[in-house]
Amino acid sequence: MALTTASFDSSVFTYRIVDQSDTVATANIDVTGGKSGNVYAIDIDNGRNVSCAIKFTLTSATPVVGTTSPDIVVWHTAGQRTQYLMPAGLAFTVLSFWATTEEADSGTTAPSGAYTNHATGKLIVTVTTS
Amino acid sequence: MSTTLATVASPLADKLITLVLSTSTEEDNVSGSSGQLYGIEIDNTLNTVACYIKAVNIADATSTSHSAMWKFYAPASTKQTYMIPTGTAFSVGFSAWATTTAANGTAQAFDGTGNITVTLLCD
Repeated sequence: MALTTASFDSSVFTYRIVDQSDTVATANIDVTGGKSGNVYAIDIDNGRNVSCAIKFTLTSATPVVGTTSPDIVVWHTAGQRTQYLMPAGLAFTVLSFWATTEEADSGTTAPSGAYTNHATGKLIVTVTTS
Repeated sequence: MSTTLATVASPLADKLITLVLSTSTEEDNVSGSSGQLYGIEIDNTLNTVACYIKAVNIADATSTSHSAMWKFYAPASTKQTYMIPTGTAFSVGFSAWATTTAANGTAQAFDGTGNITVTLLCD
């Protein structure tokens, strides 16, 4: 898994783009590096060959996979790519996310396998924030 | 200059569904069929606590035993919109309910004092 956070010169562009190229059942904690803000868009490209739940927390400093109840859950079938847009922004103080094959809070199974003909065979999550 | 109004023969999303929720009791199979969800607006302006709209791809859901496959959050006293341009599919039925706690199952609760109005755009 590789998490990349791109920030821009605030005098030019105040947004951040967070990209996880291989989202699994390990929490990506505080992906904006201590910066609070608003979530404006989430792009999910499920290159795995299983359906899975992508789970986000907005305030928890130490979310624990399998224990913490996420604030947002979105379900994705295998091979599906979907964008969620929040035009007004959704405020967060600490933004974290992970994915499991179970929608239940207790789920800890990472999505696995590669969807046929997907470019990377990974679950890619890209978040745009302020 | 002129204006032309044309109707779309096969609209992308042809169902606009409004749910007025005041408990965590589920509203089952709200669109009456399988389909795609393209947008959800949560009007939580009547409550001073945050709410969670939870949904499952199950025609006859039970809020206390089914975990949310989709969970949309709206802060207290706000209206929050999620647009899904490409749609997200539900193959059986879209059933939803509201809570004011994030947890699933019997740990969830509804402590709001006002109605939550949820508008769904789907086909």
